[in-house]
Amino acid sequence: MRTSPSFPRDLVHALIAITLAAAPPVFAGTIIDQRNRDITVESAEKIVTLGAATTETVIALGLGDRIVAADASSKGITGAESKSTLGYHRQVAAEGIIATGTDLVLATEAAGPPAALQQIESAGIPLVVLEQATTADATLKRIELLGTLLDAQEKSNTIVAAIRSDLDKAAKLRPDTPMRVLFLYARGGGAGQMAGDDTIADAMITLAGGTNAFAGTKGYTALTPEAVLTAKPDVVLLTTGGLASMGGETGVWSTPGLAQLPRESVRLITMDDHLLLGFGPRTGLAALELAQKLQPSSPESGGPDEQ
Amino acid sequence: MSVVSSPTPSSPIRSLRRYTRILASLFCLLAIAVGTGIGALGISPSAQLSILAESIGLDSFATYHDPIQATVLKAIRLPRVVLGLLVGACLSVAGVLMQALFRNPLASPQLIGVSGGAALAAGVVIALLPGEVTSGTYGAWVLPAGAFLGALAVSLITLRVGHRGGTPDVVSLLLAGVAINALTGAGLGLLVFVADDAQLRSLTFWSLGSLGSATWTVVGTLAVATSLLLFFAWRNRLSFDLLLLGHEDAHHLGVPVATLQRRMVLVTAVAVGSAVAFTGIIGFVGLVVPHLCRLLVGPTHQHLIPLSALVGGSLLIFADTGARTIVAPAELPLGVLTTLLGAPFFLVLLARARKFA
Repeated sequence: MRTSPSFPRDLVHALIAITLAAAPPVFAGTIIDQRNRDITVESAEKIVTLGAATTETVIALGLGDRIVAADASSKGITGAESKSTLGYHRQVAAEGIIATGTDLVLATEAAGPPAALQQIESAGIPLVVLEQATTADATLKRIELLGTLLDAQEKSNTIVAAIRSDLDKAAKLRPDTPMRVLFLYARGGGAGQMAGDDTIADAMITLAGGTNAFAGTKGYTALTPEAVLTAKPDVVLLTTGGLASMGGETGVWSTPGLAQLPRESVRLITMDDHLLLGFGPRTGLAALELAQKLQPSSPESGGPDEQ
Repeated sequence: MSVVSSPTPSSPIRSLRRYTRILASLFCLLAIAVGTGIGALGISPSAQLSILAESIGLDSFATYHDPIQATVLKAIRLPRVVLGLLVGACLSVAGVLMQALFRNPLASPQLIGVSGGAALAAGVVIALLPGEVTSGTYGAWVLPAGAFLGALAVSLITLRVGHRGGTPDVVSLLLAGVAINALTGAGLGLLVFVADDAQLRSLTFWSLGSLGSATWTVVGTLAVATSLLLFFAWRNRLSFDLLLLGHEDAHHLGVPVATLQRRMVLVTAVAVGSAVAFTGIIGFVGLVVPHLCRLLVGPTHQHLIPLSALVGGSLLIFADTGARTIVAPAELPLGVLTTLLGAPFFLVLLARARKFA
């Protein structure tokens, strides 16, 4: 066979070189993840995110189009609806994730099973385990880590600064006598559960300058009429999804226990599920919005809900 | 209520029987081929051959795959297929054993509390143990070890309570099993009550069964457990036949009934306990497969045991292939799928059996 002229091949090589030069610069973000492992990422063009807050942070860093797949909990996040294909993040399938062609998996401590994570790593795909943040500090740290890792420091600094300033504003709104807030976690049927200490809702209530009306008990406890009356809440806090699952305001106020609260002094406040409980890049916004809704002068039912 | 509910071996069945073992072996090879061939990541047959060539040192032929395909095939898919084969065989043969022990086609390993005990122990590990224990170096082994011990402990309690004067009495054993299953269920309910949201979901997913934790180490562990069960079953195949005549008759024919029964429970507990420990609860295999095989080759254990092992292994590989491809890149819970397929099939068998009668 005759040797083909080398001209077209050279041209192709030149084109590839130009394309590479025009592509985002090759970077090497190095971080220490939650397992104390040094992780260096040289390319992150196809990212898999496990955990809603991680997904939301990557999108906020402006890198949403690089996410190839996310877990089921990311479904409610704007920009990730169609990417949420991986199922429950504690029960992921190694081969499914590898098949997405990903070059970086961002997980939290909750992700599993361990065997699947091990298999992903043994396929040579870097796996970063991030803290399952339930405090403002951990959230800020996660955003900074992801900024470093994904070469988006400028953007992450902006987000961190915005969160800090919103948290400051929220702290300034704190009234002299904080509102007693009872958070109800409700999901279809039943009356739901009350958030005690060491819950995400408790952390958010504190950031917004309120006190948890059900403090003193760890975790979530099933709602009982007497416990509600003993908690003496000024505010009943629900997520938008939670309110819908309880049958709207009418449903809430006809639930035994809640029905007996003095309606003239107890307010019902709702906030978007991901915003209130996500501890993602909108943590500052969430605290500020809740703080504003908790103001004594605030209109009944806490004003319009933001999505 | 005897196991001999299937048609007695007539001539067509006898001629069928001659070929069933060969057919079942072919079916099993087909299952292995399909199981290794299909998955979320596309690996063409030429890539598979190329990976095989590389593994046996023929590097010059190994040019049709990329390294990630080799990793997926060798470290993820293959151990999973082998695990499916082992677990399927283990559950099915354990089902044969339990149906012989109880002389009742409704019996399955669940009856002596293996799954209940494993689930209860898994619940304790998930809901009560601090995170440090389960996330350490050996963290991945805490849950299987706990589940295995739970399965063993609860089965031993069932066996102990089911004794009457040193001899396991089948009715007492059955009743003890029912009561102990109720007890483990209640214990699990308590754990559900104290568990937080994440623990609750972990527990639920565990009880739905999955082969997702398959590694070669797990496969090795289960190979030992399943071999023990198969060896025991094969060695005692004639005694199992005699048990079907009734325990009294078996005793008079020289079967050490009490010892045999105790060993049947113990071996089942160890083998099924190991399987459940790594895979969670995979329903209906232990019940349906022995039935299906009995329809094919009759109740003689010499034919029933190997066929159940082959058919059970093959069916579980097929079910798992479905579980990991139908909603890829996510995965369906395997235990749900086996029950979803097994239960209607069982109903059809029942309806047909009635027609023949």
